[in-house]
This record gives sequence, structure tokens and C-alpha cells, in this order.
Amino acid sequence: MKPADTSSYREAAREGMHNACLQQSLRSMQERFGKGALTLWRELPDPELRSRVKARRMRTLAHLDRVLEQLTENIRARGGQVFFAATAEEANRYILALAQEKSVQRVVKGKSMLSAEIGIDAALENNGIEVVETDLGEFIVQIAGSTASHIIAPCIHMDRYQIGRLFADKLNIPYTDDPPTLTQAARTALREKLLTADMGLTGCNIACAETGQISLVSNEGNIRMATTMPKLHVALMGMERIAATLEEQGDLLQLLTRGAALQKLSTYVSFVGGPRREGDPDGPEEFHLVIIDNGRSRILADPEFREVLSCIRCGACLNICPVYGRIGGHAYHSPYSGPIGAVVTPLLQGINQHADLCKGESLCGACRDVCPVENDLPRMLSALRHKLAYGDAAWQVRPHNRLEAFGFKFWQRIIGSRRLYDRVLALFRTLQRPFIKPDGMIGPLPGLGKGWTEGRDLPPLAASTFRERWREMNRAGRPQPACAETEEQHHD
Amino acid sequence: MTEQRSFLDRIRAALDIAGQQQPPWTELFPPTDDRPTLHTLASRSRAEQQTLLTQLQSNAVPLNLQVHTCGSLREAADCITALAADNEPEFGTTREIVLHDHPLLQDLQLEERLSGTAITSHWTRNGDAAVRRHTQNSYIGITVADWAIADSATIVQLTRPGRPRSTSLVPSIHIALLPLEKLVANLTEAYALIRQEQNLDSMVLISGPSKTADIEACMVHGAHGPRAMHLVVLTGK
Amino acid sequence: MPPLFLHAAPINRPELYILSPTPPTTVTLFIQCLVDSMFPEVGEAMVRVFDRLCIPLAYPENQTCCGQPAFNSGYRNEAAAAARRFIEVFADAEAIVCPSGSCVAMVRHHYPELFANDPVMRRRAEEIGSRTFEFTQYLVDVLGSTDLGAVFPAQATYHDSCHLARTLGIREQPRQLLRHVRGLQLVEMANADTCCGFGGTFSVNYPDISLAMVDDKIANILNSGADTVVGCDTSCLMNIRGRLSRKKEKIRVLHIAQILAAGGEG
Repeated sequence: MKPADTSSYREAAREGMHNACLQQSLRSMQERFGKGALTLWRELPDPELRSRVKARRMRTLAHLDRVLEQLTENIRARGGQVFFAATAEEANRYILALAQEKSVQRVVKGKSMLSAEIGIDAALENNGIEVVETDLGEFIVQIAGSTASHIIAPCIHMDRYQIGRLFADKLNIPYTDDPPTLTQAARTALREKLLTADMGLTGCNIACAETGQISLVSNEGNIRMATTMPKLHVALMGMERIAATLEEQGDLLQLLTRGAALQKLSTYVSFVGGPRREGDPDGPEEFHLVIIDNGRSRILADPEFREVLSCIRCGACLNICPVYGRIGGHAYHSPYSGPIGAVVTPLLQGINQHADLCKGESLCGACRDVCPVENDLPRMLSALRHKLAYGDAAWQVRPHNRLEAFGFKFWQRIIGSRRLYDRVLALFRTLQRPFIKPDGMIGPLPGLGKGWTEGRDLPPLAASTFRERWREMNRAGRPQPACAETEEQHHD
Repeated sequence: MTEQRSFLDRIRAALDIAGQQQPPWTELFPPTDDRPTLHTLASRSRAEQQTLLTQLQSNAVPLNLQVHTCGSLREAADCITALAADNEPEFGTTREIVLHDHPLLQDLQLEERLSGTAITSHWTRNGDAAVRRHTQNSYIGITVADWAIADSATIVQLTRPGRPRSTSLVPSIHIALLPLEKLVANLTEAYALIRQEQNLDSMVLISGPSKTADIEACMVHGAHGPRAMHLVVLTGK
Repeated sequence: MPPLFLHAAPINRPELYILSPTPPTTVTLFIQCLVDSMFPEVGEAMVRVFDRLCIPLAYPENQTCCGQPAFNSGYRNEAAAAARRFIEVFADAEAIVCPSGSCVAMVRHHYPELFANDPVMRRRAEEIGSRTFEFTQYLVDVLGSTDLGAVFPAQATYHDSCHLARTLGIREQPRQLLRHVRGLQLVEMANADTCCGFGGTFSVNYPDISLAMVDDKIANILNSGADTVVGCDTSCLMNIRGRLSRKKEKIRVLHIAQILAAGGEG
């Protein structure tokens, strides 16, 4: 994971804003999917569905130990293996050892953000194992040496011409910018990889404890390939991505595919939970589920943030967020971008390290409206800012900005007294005079005013406050037309 | 196992329930009562089935799922042989098809129908080591759907002995046969039926051919799975 | 004969005046710091509207700020101090009305959060929240007035501010009021409820992103063909107006109170 700091957020954001292709793709994506999801929720036959699903999801999380035990028991009964990894390192060590033990040379992957979170690709590649992304978008960013910039549409930052040149270069095909031809080229190249790989490595959309399976959604069929053809299937699962019952899984599944792409169901929903049976010609000989904590239990323990674990990673919040819609996904420096990334990345990787993610939103609330499980992301962003303001021992947060903290202390004193408040206003009224342009507005300012005024004018402080004008209005006698206090004075 | 214990202990600590006695599973998560749904399914009339079929057909259109209705096995066999004749192999040059080991497909007598053509058919018999190779060489895979869902134009395919996963996945064209009585209204009904299965293995819900929109949101069918899918609905014997 | 009191009615439709033996509820003005210091004319316009409706007004002169800037930046101790002060200043008010959706959202939704661990203050916060209304919400939902007799010739487009629309759910009330303004034609812009990019300190700390957002808003305003953009939050309006001014665009930017107070005296 690249280290993130303030400059890298701002810089990557600026790059995103200057990428014309990304801007156009984001616009059409938001226009279609963000608005579409809101419309879908508005028109749900059962308007309570989302809040009911959320309540059930929170209940499952409240019994997460039991639910995971049940899942594990059912998978083991079917001959599958379950490994519990407290950290990314433990997960990587387990998978690498397995790959080496089975002499794995090639791993085909289904799209998994968790795999990027734990950095498994590098762990395998450093040991001479080939890792191939098979989701078309992930494949494109992989061979381009880039990273995904959207949860559902990883290569949204690239256009067909860039992809055409990339394929001509890396797949040795004649240049074309025709999406069907490019898709066919990837299909042919990846089919060979999918049919000959030794290990399929996938994530998990929603596990189901009751049936002892994980479910995986895809439109391309690559995940089915990766879970069916190689002799090993390893699935990575964030410990929270689980439903207690099939009924709960079904509700979540339908919210997931609707939130992600306005689909009633994705093309494929695979349920797997064990190795192939005796006599089966396909399906993996071994099935390993790696359940990963990697910072999630700390989120679970904090009532302020537990809710974020109910996220099903549909990406709807990315499709509505006006900030993400301008800057794109790379600025978040995490597999999780957009509003969900702004909350979950600091919680998983460090709040100070990702302070810009906590503070770089306008808190407009659109993500809360569109979230299929009604996560209140703005509330959690505000809670993260609270931790940054004063520091927080439990989360190992240091106070983020002493100047800002001092500023708000000072602000508190000013607004604590109307007299002081009026005096400060009077002072600023004097100070602003030289900056007022002939059109009555304030132009570019140095220092603290720079951020506002480098692209915007600032209306000056008014000559008198409302309080003064209120007094003036009352002194002059406010007109009260047609008001009567008794019937006699009221006329028809 | 120690990782599991410490992992779950950490969760219990996070939930502040370490060391607490907890109620049994069925009390925490009571099993879904499927009786009303199963009753609905059992009492569904032929006319209602036809209505569901109409829904399925209209929901299939945007998914590029081709629905064919056939009044008899004979008609279904005609339909499938026509599809086999009208399409060319995508990978390789031989014309091979692979079929699930299912009595309904045996009843179609496709082998006889195809004898004398250049098309070879293979059964996916349990334990047959050649199935994988045949599947990879086939341009058409034929299965029988366990159920289909009208609301989302989806088929449910359970993995069973002799009915492997790759038949509906690896060939370029997937043809699924569906007896009309196996058509249900929505996912809730399908899940009620799935819950009645003993010894459930893997399964897949399929709604149309494989697709991707990863390049400039341009929809292309045939990413990694079949680029075409046909659902042959059997409305009679 | 006991006195009867005239209650709110559209000024030019006296046949709809209501006479009641109880006096109308006094409205206590909550004039947020931004209006107080930068846009006092918005407060004045609000006074004129209420005067016309014969609503008795009060204005606690020692009010300052509700604490929202501190809260949104994470400084909850400072925000809580502002909240305590607000709750004291407005303790006796019957109905508190403010020309800002985000300040009302602060009082209604975030004050109780600030006192999550203090049951007494939390109760007081919830109680004061239930008496705090945004201007158009009070006019339409409480007074039942949508036609205030205003006259304002304009092609106007309405910008939904985030906290007003999403936190308070107020989308229709301002539009209803605008539709009844004589001479005003309401035209909808695309994405009227998409954030303008203000976001408090966000606009100062991340100016590039904020500007990209306000530029989108401005493009939508210009595409609507309107000559006037109307809103219920001076913070958004200051952002939009500041950018329009820098780009030398001649679009009027007005708070809804300024429109509702215009004309109709006769």
C-alpha cells in the first residue's frame, strides 16, 4: 500500500480532475447508476426493506462469533478448509505456504478488494508465482501497472484508445479501439490462463452460515471459471461479509446487485462451500476459506463505527458522491475509494495517515441516501474528524492540526460573548476595506483567505449586523399592514 | 485451531460478550418457515405458470437471454439441433457439444438426431475423466435447469453427480432446458426450494450470457463465460 | 366580547384570514452568524414576510452562532459550548425560525448527538430541536401559507441545499412558495440537489475540489436558462455567488426570503 499524505491526496485529486476521460466516464456513471439506485429505492414495493435488512445485518454482526462458527462447521462438514487470519501477514503466509506446498505456478484471480488490502499479489509474485487478474477491468489495470479506481468499474479512468494501445503492446494484437474486439482479445488470452491455472483466488461477496457457503457475484463469468477449473480455490473473506441465513443472504444479494448496477441479479451468483465431490470432473480438489480480521474487530468493538461493517461493497456511494465524481478513485490511495473508502480506509489503516480522507468531503449526505444498508457515512466521517480534532488513545490518533484546534478555541471565545463577537466583526470590517473591489466583492486574498478566494470572490462583511438593523427597524416602527387585534378592527 | 479460538475470542471481546452463555442457534436465527411458499408453489395453476412464463420472456430481453417455448420434447430437440447447426465453434474447429447426464436430455434423443451430421455429443457422466476435455472442446453445453425465476430471468443450477459446473460455463453457447412447472416467481420462492435440498453442493444462479461493460461502459456479451444463452422452456411432454 | 386575533394568511387574500381567540405564536428569530454578519438583508426580508403575516416576532440580541462550523470540523467540545449557549439564549422561545437549513439541521440533529452522554442536556437539546424550524418549513408546514402575495419578475431556478433537502427532507416547501410568486417562473436545473461544494471548511481546505463542484452547479444553473438562482442557505449562495462573480456571470443569487418579501404591498 502506498503511503498516503496530504499532498498525495490533493495531487491525485487534481490529476483525477484533469483527466478528461475519467471525468466523462464518471459523469455518465453517476448520471446512470447513482440516480438509478436512488430511483430504485424510492420505488421499492417494500419501502421498509432497506431498514429491515440493516437491522438484521446489525443483529448478525452482534452474533458474529456464532455465525462464523456455524459457517466454519458447515464448510468443514463438506470437506472444505477454513483458516482464520488475524492480520494480512497471517493470511498471506497461509496462502503462500499452500501455493508452495501444491507447487502452484499460476494463480487466476476474481475481483477482490480484500486481496489488494492484504497485498497477496506481491506476496505470491515475490515467490515466483504468476498472478493473473481475470475481471476484464482488473486485468486491464494490472497489465497497465495501474490500480483500480472504482469498486465496480476498475478501469473507469482509462478510455478505449488507451486500452487499445495497451492491448496492442501487451497482448500482441493489431491495434483496435473497438470494445467488442478488445473484449474478445482479453477473452481469448484469459481463457487459456483460466483453464490452466493451479489456483483460483477470489473474494467473497456474502457468505451464508446456514448453508455453509460463500456467494460470489459476477457478470463476466471469470469468478465461476476461477472457482471451477483450477484444482485449488482459495477465497478471501472479510470477517463481516456474512449472512446468518439464506433468507438474509437473499435480501443482501438483491440490494447488492441493485445498488451496484441496477440489476435484479448479476449474471452469475455462485454458491460454493467445499471441494468437488467424488466423480465430479470439475470444481476444485481443495477449497480454502481464509477469514480475515486485519483491523475489523477494532471497528466491531466501537459502537460509533460498527455500522460500517454492514457495508456490502456495492459502490453505490461512489456513484452518487460529488467529491468522488470529481476526483476519481486514485486519490483515496486504497482499494476502497469514494465515501465508503473515506470511512473504512482510515479505520483499517490509520486515521492520521488518512486524515485527508476524513476531511476531504462536504458532508452532503448523498451517500447516506443511496446506501442499500442505510449506512450513515457522513455521521462516521464527522466522528473521524472528532478523533482527529483531539486525538484518541483507543484508535492511536494524534491531534491532527494544532493551528486549527487553536482557531476553534479562539472561535469559541468569540461566539461565547456577543460583545466580543461584535468587536471582532468590527475589526474585520476595517481590515477588509483595502480588499474590496469596485464591484463590491473581495478578490484574491493571501493567507487563510487564499483557499476561498483563489477561485471565488468573497462578499464583504455588511456595514451593519442584522442585530443593528433589527434595532433600526424597530426604532423606525415596523409596518404591520392589515393586522388587527380584535374583530372590530378587522374589516371585510 | 488456536488461530480460530483467538480470532473468535477477539470478536467476543469486541462484542463485549466474552464468556457469556449464548442461546442456541435456532433461537438466535430461527429457520425460515417455508410452508406458505411451498403451498403457494404447489397450488399454482397452469394459467399462473403461463403468466410467469410471459414475465420471464419479457425480463429475458434486456439480458440478451433467448427464450424458446416448445410444446413437446420433439420440438425442443428440433430447436436445439437447429441452434447447433446454425452456430459455429468459437475456439477450435470441431463441432462438439456436451450434455448433462439428465433423464430429460436423454429423452431428447439428440445423439440420434445428430447422427449423420458433423456434430459429436458427449455426456457428462459421473467419474468420466474425459468430461473436462470434452467440455473445453465443445461449443455448446446443454443443461437442465433445476428451477428458473421469472422475476429476474434466472435459472438455478445445482451441482450434482453427472451434472458438473463447467457445462454451463466453458462452451461458447449455453442451452438450458426448463420444464415449465419448474418456473417460480421470484428469488424468495427459489430459496424456499433450495432450502428443501438435502446435502446441498455448489450451485449457481445464471441470468443470461456472460457480459462486461468494463471498457467505456460499452456492453459486450461473452466476457469469460458463454457469449450466448438459450432457455428452452418445455410447456408439454 | 373577547378579543380575536388575526392569524397568518396570504396578504392579498384577506378572505382567508383566520380569526382565533388565541394569539398567534410568537416567532423567535434565529439569525445565523453568516446572515447576521454578511447578509443582514436576508434577515430583514424575513422580518418583512412575518410582519406581513401578522406574526409577532422576537429576537434575542445576544445570539451568535449555533456551533456548526466547529461540529463539522470535529471540534465537538467547542460545538457543545455553542450549543449550550444557544439552548440558554432560546430557552423561552415558542417557535425558533432560522433562514438556514444547515443551522436548523445542526440544532435538530446534532445537538442531541453532542450530549449523548448527558441525559439532562440531551433532553433539552431534543426539546429545543422540536421547536426549531427552517424558514420555508415554518411558513408552509406550520402556518400553512404558500401564497405570500409576493411579486418578483424573474426566471428563477432553485438550488436544494444538502442539509435542508437530505437531513430535514425539505424539498417541496420552497418550491411551493416560489410557484406562488407573481411574475416568477420556476425552472428546474439538472441535479438541483447535488452539493454546490461549500461544505464549510472543506471549501477552504480543498479549494480545487470545491471549485470543481461549484463549477458543475454553475453549469447546471446556466443551462437552466434562469436569470436568478434561489436557495434557502446563504452559505451555498455565498459559494455560488462568489464563483459566479469571479467568472463575471450576471446571474442574480438570492435567498428565498428576499423574493418572498418583494412587492405585494398594495
